[in-house]
Amino acid sequence: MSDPREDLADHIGPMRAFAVSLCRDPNTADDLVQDALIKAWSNIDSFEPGSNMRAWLFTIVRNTYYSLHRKRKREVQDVDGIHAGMLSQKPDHDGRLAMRDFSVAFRQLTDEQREALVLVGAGGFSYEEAAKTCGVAVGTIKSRVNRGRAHLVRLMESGDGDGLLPDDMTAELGARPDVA
Amino acid sequence: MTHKSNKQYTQPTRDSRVDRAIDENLKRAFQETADEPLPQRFADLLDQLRQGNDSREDSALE
Repeated sequence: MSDPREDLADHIGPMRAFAVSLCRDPNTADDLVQDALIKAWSNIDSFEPGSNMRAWLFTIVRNTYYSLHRKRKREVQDVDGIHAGMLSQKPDHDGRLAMRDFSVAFRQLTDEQREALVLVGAGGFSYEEAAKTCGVAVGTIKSRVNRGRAHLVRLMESGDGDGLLPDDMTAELGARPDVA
Repeated sequence: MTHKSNKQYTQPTRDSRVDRAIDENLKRAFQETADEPLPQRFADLLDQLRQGNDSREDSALE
């Protein structure tokens, strides 16, 4: 049977994407992925062949993140304030700053909301897989996803409303205070 | 849904299209990073690990 460690390389891209969504910073994210890869490599025996390797690796990424994060909690507390400030700035030009606005709003969500949204919304995880990855009940993941989405919508509306939604949708939601 | 509503449109449930728009943004952001060429450090790391860094102590790779 082939060595599952040889498959690790295939998952580094998605691991980086997941790590960025947790860390909110690409450099820290790559350090996190590196740590996670080392752990995965040396604990490959705990990987059940034939099971979902990505889910296994994401679990390692998030555990590594949380053990790191708890240590550094005090240092990063200001991050939210900084990002809140960024969001309240008007975009320089109209319209399609979509991705940037969205990313700025996304960074303001809690760790739990970000990871739930990314796993389910972007990573293609089922609610069950996401629950297992995060070590919580399925209902907890569902409510985190739901609250995360609601929070994003509020943030995007309180920004300029641009970006998250196509214009017609935003108009329907009455979230265009800038038309005045 | 053509009513010209303004600020006071408060409805607790989100349009499912809003959820879809959110997921599309999430996917786009995720995929952009996932598809980036990998920094060289990861190829180097795997090489190092393959070359019998197997003596497991928390390999001082940092």
